Amino acid sequence: MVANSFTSVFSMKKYFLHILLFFFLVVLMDYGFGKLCSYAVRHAKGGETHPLQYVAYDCDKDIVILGSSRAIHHYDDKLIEDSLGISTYNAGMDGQGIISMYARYKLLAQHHLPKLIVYDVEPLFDYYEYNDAEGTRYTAHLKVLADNPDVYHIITDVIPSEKLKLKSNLYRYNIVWISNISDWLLRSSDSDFGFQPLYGEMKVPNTAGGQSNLKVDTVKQSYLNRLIAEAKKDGVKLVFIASPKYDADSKTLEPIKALCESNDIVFWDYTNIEKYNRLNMFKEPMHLNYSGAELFSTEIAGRLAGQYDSLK
Amino acid sequence: MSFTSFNFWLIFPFIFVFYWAIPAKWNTLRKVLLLVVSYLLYMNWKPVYALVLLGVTLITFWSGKLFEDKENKKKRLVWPLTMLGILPLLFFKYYNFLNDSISACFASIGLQFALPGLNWAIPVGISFFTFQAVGYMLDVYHGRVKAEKDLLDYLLFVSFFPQVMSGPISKADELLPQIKNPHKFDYEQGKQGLKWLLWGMFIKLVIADRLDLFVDTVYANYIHYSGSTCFVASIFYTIQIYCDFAGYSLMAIGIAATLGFNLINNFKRPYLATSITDFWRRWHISLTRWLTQYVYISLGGSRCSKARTYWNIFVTFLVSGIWHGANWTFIVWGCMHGVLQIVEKALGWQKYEGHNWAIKAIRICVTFLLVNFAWVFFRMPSIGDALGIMTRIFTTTGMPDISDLGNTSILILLFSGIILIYKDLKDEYFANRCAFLSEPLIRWAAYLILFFMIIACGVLDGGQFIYVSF
Repeated sequence: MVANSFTSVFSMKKYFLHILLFFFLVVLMDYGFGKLCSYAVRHAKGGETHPLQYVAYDCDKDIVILGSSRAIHHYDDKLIEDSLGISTYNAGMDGQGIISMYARYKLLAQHHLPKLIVYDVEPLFDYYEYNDAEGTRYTAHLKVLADNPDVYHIITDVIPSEKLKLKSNLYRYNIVWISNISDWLLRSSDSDFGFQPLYGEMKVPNTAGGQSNLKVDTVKQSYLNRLIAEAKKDGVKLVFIASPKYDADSKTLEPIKALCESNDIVFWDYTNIEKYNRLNMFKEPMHLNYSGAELFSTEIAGRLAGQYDSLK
Repeated sequence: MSFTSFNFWLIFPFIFVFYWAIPAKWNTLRKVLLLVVSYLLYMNWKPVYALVLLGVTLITFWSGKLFEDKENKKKRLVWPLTMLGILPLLFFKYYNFLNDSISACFASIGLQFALPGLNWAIPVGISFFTFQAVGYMLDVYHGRVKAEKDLLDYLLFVSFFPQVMSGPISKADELLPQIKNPHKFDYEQGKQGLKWLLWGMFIKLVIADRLDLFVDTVYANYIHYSGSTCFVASIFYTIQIYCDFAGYSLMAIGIAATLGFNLINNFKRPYLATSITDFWRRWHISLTRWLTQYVYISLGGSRCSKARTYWNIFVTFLVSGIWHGANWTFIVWGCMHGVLQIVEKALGWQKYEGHNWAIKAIRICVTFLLVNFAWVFFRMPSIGDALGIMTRIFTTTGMPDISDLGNTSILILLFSGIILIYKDLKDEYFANRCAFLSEPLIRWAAYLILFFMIIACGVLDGGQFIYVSF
């Protein structure tokens, strides 16, 4: 009996020691991994890592475009720059919305204040509740810059439980470490333009449609208000644009339009403009193809020139 | 609370420490702790549904006591009491399905009939704990076990947190003695538990959840993908469901082992089966055991005419299909497996005991493909969609395209897939020939690599998704 108890206590002690040793090794691995990845992020030359790194450290363009995939695939920043003679960068990102774009604005503002932010609005990502896993969709790619106090605050504001998890570098660089390291080691320098054209045409009419029974996401709503307030405070001009969708309705834009009106911000609604409602302009209902984007970017450049003469 | 959630892993170390801090001689206190923890974790999903768990537990406990009475009169209550035990399962899981099916039936002949629909969530794990509890009740009825007198032990038996939500389904004579026995900490058992936990998390978070990103995208929009891409998605789903279910099961078994409990291993390399019959000896072993004992054998098993045996097999797998979900697709899936096994039995193809590797490989591949196509029905929301995918696979041309996954995911899946295939092949065919893997340095390196893969490559949040627009 005594021998059994002794064996059991000894077993438990051995067990705990081995667990402690394991986690000690994990902590070492985590530390080294974090150092490697943070270096990779800072020195990424292209690929998926470069845009966030560029916005965070190097971007000094006067016009910055923010928004979801509809931003990055619709606005040819080089065309706009050449047309206006004002440096332009497209910092949009697939599947992202106001929470991550607000973070990009904060990162940018730490080292450079652009003259104008062009924000391409997508109501599902910027205002309403959507299938976005309680906000993790918008904060996941920001974790690599969680050492930045503004970014850390945004992530933990949206998901408080991230406070503890962000202590782990393995967690911070979850999944992105592969592209971070390859973008550092294997990529050649990317251009300082973010536009990503889409190719292909819709063959069959298929509507982008509209959504009903949408609930306002109060977190997104608050970040939209914050972006407006901070841009105003920083003296950065804002223009909100709803770029073309194929055969869609714009009812969901009404609250955002009202918000812009109350804050004296320009809002251009291109959701249902006949000129763009053509199959050969779209890759699929939500995204213009390259031809559509060029036509749209040219029009936007012209309107910006007329609206913001003071930028030059 | 899911075993893959961060909050669970904040809590579990405390459960572990408090449990083992209680001396073995105070086993009752240990049981109370586990019971409280089990119910609190269950209530984390939806508190009121703990009443369903409690209700099924009390009904079956009381029924067990009733059946031990030697009077035959009380034994005649077995059917009504069994129905009472499974009533919550029938109500929560199948009410809407039955209502919709009956309404559709009436509508097809021009009649309008529909009861109000239920917009209630299904109590988590109801299929598992109901079968476990009813299994105990039937074991008492058949005299296989004595009725449990200690309510505390029985409450814990049904609600034991590692297994209540997703199994494995334990038998009373397996788990109850372990609950009663004041066991001491066993280093080897605890170590094995952690190893199962690690492996389970790896295959669930790194492989299953990553494959799900692609499968979800393709299956939701299959008309936009080529037949070969749909076929690749079906293969991915076959691997996904194995890694998901086996992974979670292993985590449950691992957690139980760290607390000194041995649960039945639910999976035994099912995709190395040489027949559908063999597949069901390796897949969800605890459910197969339950269905064999309480459905197949109760109907007569194979101790009757061939026709009757075939009928018994068919009914058993019909019940299996119904158990898995409230949709005609699950019923079709179950029936497919039943029919395939009947064909195997009729042709004498249930087992292969030869040593011809080529024949074995062919049988494994054919079995895999049959199971793979059956899973299409399991996964799709309707029979129409399942047939749509199958039609697409066999009639639409085009190269397979997995680019939606992204290069990073493809790389991770390739690396993880190699590890998975190696481990399963090793465990099946070469377990005794890999002594070098037991070297401490190799073992510890493997543990660290798995841990690294889980945290650095696992799908840990909703931030990973395939962005497509159709």
